[in-house]
Amino acid sequence: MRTRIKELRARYDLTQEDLARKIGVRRETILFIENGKYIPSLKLAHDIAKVLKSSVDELFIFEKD
Amino acid sequence: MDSKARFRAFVGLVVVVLAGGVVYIVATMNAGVDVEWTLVSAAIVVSMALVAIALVRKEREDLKRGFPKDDERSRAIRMRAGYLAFFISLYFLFGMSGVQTLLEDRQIASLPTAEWGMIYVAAMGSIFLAVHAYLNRKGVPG
Repeated sequence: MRTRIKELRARYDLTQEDLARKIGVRRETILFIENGKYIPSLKLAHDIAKVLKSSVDELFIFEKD
Repeated sequence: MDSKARFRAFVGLVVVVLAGGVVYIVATMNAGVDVEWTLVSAAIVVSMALVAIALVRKEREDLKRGFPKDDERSRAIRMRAGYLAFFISLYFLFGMSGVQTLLEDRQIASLPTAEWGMIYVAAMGSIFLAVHAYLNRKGVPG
């Protein structure tokens, strides 16, 4: 899984800490999601997409194995 | 329960556990139970206190910076670490009973059952901490 979170964060000038605070999770959670090491729940994915004014399918790109 | 209430509950639990440890040490000292066992208990309580202080300080810092005590990822790690620690410690239990049988067969003095139990609980706790630290670094599979 790839994500465009880092790219969109940069667009809105948000750090990982800012994004984590806005959606009420720990900073490491954002770090792990960005690195593809944690697949968030649908609700968390939706919350991230909302803050980054995007949609879940734009943010998360699932690739075939 | 919000993060602040959870943090207060965590601090309360830490204080109760440490106070229980101190009371136990004082009671064993007064009862004149062997000194070595009292020293081991004191070392365990002191190491628990050090870990608890470090954890409480980190949690307090995180709360001040506006981060929650835990979130869905930390809960997922805790659940998986608990599940894995349980199964791994079952193998440890089989190993321990094998060692005890061997000791009995060779007529070597073995530990009392209560102490085997304490070793098992300590091993289960250590396995949980190790698996938790590993998953925290490597990530939990989705």
